[in-house]
Amino acid sequence: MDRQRAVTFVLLLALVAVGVWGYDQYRQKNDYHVFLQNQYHRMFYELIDHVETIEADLAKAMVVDSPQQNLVLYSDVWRQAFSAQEKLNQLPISHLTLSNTSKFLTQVGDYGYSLTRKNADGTPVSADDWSNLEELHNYAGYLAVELQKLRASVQEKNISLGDLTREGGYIFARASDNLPNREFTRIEQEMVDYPTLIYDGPFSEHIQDIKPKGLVGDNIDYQRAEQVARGFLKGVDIQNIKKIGNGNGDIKTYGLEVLTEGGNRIYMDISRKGGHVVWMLNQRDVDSVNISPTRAVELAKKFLEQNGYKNMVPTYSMRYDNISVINFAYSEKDVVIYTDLIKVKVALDNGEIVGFEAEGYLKAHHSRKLPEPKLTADQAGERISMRLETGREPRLALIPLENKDEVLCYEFRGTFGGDDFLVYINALTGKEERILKLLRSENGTLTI
Amino acid sequence: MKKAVLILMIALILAFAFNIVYPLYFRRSVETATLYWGSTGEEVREVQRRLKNWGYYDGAVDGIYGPKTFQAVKNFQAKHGIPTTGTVGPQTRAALGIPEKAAEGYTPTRGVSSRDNVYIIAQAIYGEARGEPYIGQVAVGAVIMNRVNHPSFPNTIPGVIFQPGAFTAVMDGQMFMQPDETALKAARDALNGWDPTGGAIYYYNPAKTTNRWIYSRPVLKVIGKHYFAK
Repeated sequence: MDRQRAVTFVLLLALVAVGVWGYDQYRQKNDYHVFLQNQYHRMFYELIDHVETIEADLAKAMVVDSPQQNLVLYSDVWRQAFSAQEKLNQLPISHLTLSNTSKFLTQVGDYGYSLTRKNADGTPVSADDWSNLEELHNYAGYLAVELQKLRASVQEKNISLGDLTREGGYIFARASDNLPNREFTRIEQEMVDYPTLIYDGPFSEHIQDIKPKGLVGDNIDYQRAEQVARGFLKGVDIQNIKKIGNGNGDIKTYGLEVLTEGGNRIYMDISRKGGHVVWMLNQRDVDSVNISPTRAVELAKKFLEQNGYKNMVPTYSMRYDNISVINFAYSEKDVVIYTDLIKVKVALDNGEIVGFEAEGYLKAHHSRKLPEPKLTADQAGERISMRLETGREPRLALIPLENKDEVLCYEFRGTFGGDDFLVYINALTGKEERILKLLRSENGTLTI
Repeated sequence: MKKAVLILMIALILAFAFNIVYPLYFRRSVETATLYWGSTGEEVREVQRRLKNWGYYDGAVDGIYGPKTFQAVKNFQAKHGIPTTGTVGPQTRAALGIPEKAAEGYTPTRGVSSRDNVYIIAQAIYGEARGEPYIGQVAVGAVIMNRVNHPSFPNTIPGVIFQPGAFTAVMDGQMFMQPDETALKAARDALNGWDPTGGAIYYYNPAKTTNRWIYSRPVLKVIGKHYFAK
């Protein structure tokens, strides 16, 4: 009898132990599962970014015409394709389905590399290269759209690991079938000669810690900040203003929370030096649209003038959630100064200003001595690729480079094959400094 | 009857093949006229412009094929193994990459760009800071954006969000929920440059954090339950 009881006891104990062990295993499995899923999601999202960048680079390559900019674009294609390839092959999808897409990415990368080298030898892009580039661009665009579809279904259905394998497999199989049936010359590479020094890029910390140049005026106390807030929110029925913690970033601020009579909350930061509003956000939901985007731009401009920001010109506007976000740049003697940037949000139901952001302006704005252009607009126009159809006259603009230098450029706007581009030609040297491709995002429009 | 079908088929195939082959081999050669000393016009300008951009020519881009253009073309040809005739024929033209003007084979960008990645930022915000004041949610989004621009962190938005150990909500899978409207709105504001933190790259909840190192970071701002630090 005792023996039987002992056996039961031991068995029970064993069961509990197994239970504990099982639960622990289950938890570990879950942790690894989430970890892996995160990694796959990261690979997937980054892959889309890379493919979209490749597409944009190749589109720019069609309309770029200087060796310097070609070098920038082709080496970027090379780098992006390399990264995209790496990410693609880490997705949990069989190699068989991926092989053609993978091959395409290798070819784009190799092609970018070969053009980089050709470029360094002083050889222009030949007519054959143009048609190759065109074809590669089109496929990159196709691949980007397919990936965007996959992304949409991942987000809609909150897709898990297994589903990503299945749906992704299907999309890549289709993408492979549509691959242009053509061999691009694979060139021998000197992969061994990779430079071992890693360049840290233009965002080194000492550059990040720039002293704000636009903060003028004396230090203010909190009471004064409240007055500034009241003046800034003219037309808002304020119930009370609360202090919510100071900001100690590059711009030292007072943080304020404003409660309106309607029960809305408005947040804003006001600089301790000079008492400038650094940013403001009104949380209010906007449910209807009663005013046009053009009217919104007018209202935003008027608002800026009332608050002492004269000579601001709208450069870009975006619409979402029934709100217009309008970018303004400072303009001096008809030169658009892109570094001195202010964004204004306008509610499209009643035209109220529901957001304001002037960090760019407050950090960069100072009185500059603008150089005189050495080239005429026509001379600068000669540097633009013939492929680009430029409609209107260019305008002068001061743009920032990676190293925070500011250069005076002619800004040309043009189209090629249905895509829009902005080309910046240095007004002193004629160098093609920058080329931008306008992305179609949700309702973004350029308001030049 | 059968014969008729066969003939029809052959005719169709031939027509089809002709349509493919014709533009490839014949059309291109029709357009090219040789340019030489004394030529003028838009085409000459294009040749001059390209030679100038590539450093072979330093005269004016005036559309007149003069001695300077002639010399530049010869130099270009010598460098690229083309007979140095000083005239621009098909071979030189191709090497110079003078494009056909129309963009026939080019497809413009379709679809909507995902570069902004609003959705995953919103997911991260919702997982990390739902229940926080609106401005605290924007702030979490701003930290993600600040990390993308910071040399010590990954350079892409997904890279930052899915970086192992970076965000609790991502590590325990909470992130994979449908974000609400507020989180989406906060994500858009953060993406558009609103940064309530003044440049923070870390944040923590002092009630929950046991990590000592994080306390050594200078705090830039306190919003709701979160401390935002640099």
